[in-house]
Amino acid sequence: MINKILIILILILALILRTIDFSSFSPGVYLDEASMAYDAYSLGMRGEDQYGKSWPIYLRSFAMYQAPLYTYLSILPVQWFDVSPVGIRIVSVIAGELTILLIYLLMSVVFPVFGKKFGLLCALVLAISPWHILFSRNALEANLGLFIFVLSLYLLFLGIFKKNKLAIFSGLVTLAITNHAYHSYRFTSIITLISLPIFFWQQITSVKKAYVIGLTFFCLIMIPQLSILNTTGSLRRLELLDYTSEKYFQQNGGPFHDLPLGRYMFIARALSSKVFDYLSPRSIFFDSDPAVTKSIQELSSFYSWMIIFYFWGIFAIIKKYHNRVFLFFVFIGLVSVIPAAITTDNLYLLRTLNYLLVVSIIIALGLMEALNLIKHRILKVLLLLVLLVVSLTNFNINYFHISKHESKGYYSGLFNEAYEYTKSHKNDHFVVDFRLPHTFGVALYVYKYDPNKWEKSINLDLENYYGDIPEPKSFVIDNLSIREIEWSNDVYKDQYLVGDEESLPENKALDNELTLIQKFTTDLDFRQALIYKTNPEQLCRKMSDEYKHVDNLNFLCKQYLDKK
Amino acid sequence: MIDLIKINKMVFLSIVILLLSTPWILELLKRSLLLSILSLVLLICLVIIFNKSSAKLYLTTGLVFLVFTITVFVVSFDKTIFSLTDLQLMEINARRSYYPQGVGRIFHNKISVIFYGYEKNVFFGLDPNLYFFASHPRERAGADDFQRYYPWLLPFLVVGIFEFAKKKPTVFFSIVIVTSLMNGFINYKSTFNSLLFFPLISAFIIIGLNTSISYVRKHLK
Repeated sequence: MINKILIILILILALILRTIDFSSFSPGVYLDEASMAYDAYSLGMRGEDQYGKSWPIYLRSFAMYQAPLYTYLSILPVQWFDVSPVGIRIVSVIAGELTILLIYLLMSVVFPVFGKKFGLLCALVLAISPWHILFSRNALEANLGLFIFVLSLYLLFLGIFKKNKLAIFSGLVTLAITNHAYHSYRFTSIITLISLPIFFWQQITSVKKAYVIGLTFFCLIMIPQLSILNTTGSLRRLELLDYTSEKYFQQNGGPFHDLPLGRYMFIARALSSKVFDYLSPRSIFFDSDPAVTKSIQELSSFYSWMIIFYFWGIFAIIKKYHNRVFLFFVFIGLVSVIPAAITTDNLYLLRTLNYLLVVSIIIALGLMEALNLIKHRILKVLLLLVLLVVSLTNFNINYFHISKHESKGYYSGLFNEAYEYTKSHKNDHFVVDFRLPHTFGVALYVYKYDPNKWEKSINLDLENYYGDIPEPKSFVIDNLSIREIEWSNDVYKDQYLVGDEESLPENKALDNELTLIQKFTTDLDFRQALIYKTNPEQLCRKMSDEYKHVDNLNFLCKQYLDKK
Repeated sequence: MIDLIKINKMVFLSIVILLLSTPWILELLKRSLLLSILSLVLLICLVIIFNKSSAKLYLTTGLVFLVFTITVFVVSFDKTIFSLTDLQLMEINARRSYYPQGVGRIFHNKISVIFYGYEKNVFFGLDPNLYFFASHPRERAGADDFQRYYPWLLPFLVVGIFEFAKKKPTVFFSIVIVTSLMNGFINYKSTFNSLLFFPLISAFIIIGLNTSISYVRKHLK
């Protein structure tokens, strides 16, 4: 009874941390979230994505070909809560909550010797870990993928240890579904499938019929992805394997050029250094993820104090608990680092959620070992409370205060604010030029633009949906022209120019007689979204004095004045 | 050490040669003979501790460690963590404004900045990439990064850590924790950053190499 109360309390705490200040934390959503929300909106409206493709296997989005499951599950929430941060993120919140519950149940199945307390500690560590809170608060397919993966493990182990044939079958089917949730599970699910019989051969042979049937369904569920295996859409993520190419080696090989088998040594060094970067205590207990949109400022994936229990847990596994289940989890955790390590991105922890989950389990083990040394229950409770207060205070400072004010620029908050402004001035025309590509996705989201109109304007060849089609360089959405600013033309028309400090530098604005109308910025003022009004008349007067001999300029001014 | 020599003189010799040709010890010899000698003495003490236990040995090791640490501090104690730059002051003031009146001072003050700087030095010292890959792929701007050990020694480091932690857990955790905490007072950009770890890591590598070679020899027989 007490265990049920405790897990409910943990789930309540987790829910509060994942939903507090939910819709107002950042003004708007990130680019990927905007694209998913718009696709969900379009699918809910007409059964087709924003490009007119009916229920695609991968969602084209910005030619990144996202796994579709998150968007499909968001169709109803987007209809209920509108195209809004709540509408698109609620699936992630629910997935995060259920993952915490599942980890508690999973640990109870695989480690019955520890009783329920280990499961409770795992759930608590996950509930308060910065990485899990952050990823549950944002619309991230990886978080959904993690939930489905943990569900599959729970079902599989239920089947393995309790000889439950239905559970084994369901576990394999669920494992196959992870492939449709997030791309890195295309690798991890296969490795899990291969390693399960290796680690638990004896147990699986007693349910082998159910295992074989489940395996068949696993393959069937993979068929849609296999049918487009040889397309750009399927292979897009593999294009990130740039450092294995000859071209990359020629540009970055350095001293390896002079060595025999230099390219292979270069690749080996790159791979091993990246793997150890993920495994480094610095990366998971101190540094923020370099991907600023997926991190909390000055707070790592775990709190610094957790390192003590992390090493305690590892030591406990080496000394006492080197059983198959722990070894299996450690193996899966280590293996899940590989898809992330073979890309050119430095430290992108979102791609290694299985690894972070395993680290959480090890921390919980270390914590349990530490608590076992304390005799008095009151002292145990006191220790946990102190750690909880320190952690939540730390999280509050770094997330709800520092990140909230200083990460607005990275969370596309500035784009959202700018587009909200342009939307509220529908009678004016805006030329939008943000240097970050694909901000048109945020415009579609903010405007809730008619998907039928958008589809017509893009006019994508649906036969080649998963192929390599060059993206248009300009888009028109309502009163917006999203393209590069033509300084020789745009400043001679009555309109507004929207951009950032790169596309609308101050000196150019001054030279072209632009008037600053709005400036959206972060608290430390290091990023801006700017809206300028053109002043063609003033500019022409200035130009006529300075550049009488430049016919083109005079022509544009003449055109403007004629219009007036 | 005598036990190590007894196992196989060639094995022991090859290990010594290997470590002496390690980039770090060569770099250290160039910069400070005293620190090189102290670090090698401490290394030998740690390797002996792995095989023997005696109060005298522990005391000697502790004293050598103390002298080594003090010498490193004299050369490169990080005073900057106790003073604030203009940028840090600006940041503190800005961040205090994120809270209701007066509350911001509790969380953003000189102590919090000092603690963060200290933490940074501690955790940078715990990064294996610093030692084996010159901090690649996330090289540290302004830091004196060079490859301290050859990457192929990394598996032997892991073996050595496991062996030492299993055999002498109290000594292992004591020395790792104390070294980490002391390393926090040395700036992560300094030439002597993480030098306190050199005897420790080298000892683990030697133990790892020795364990691996013994294992292979045992199974070949």
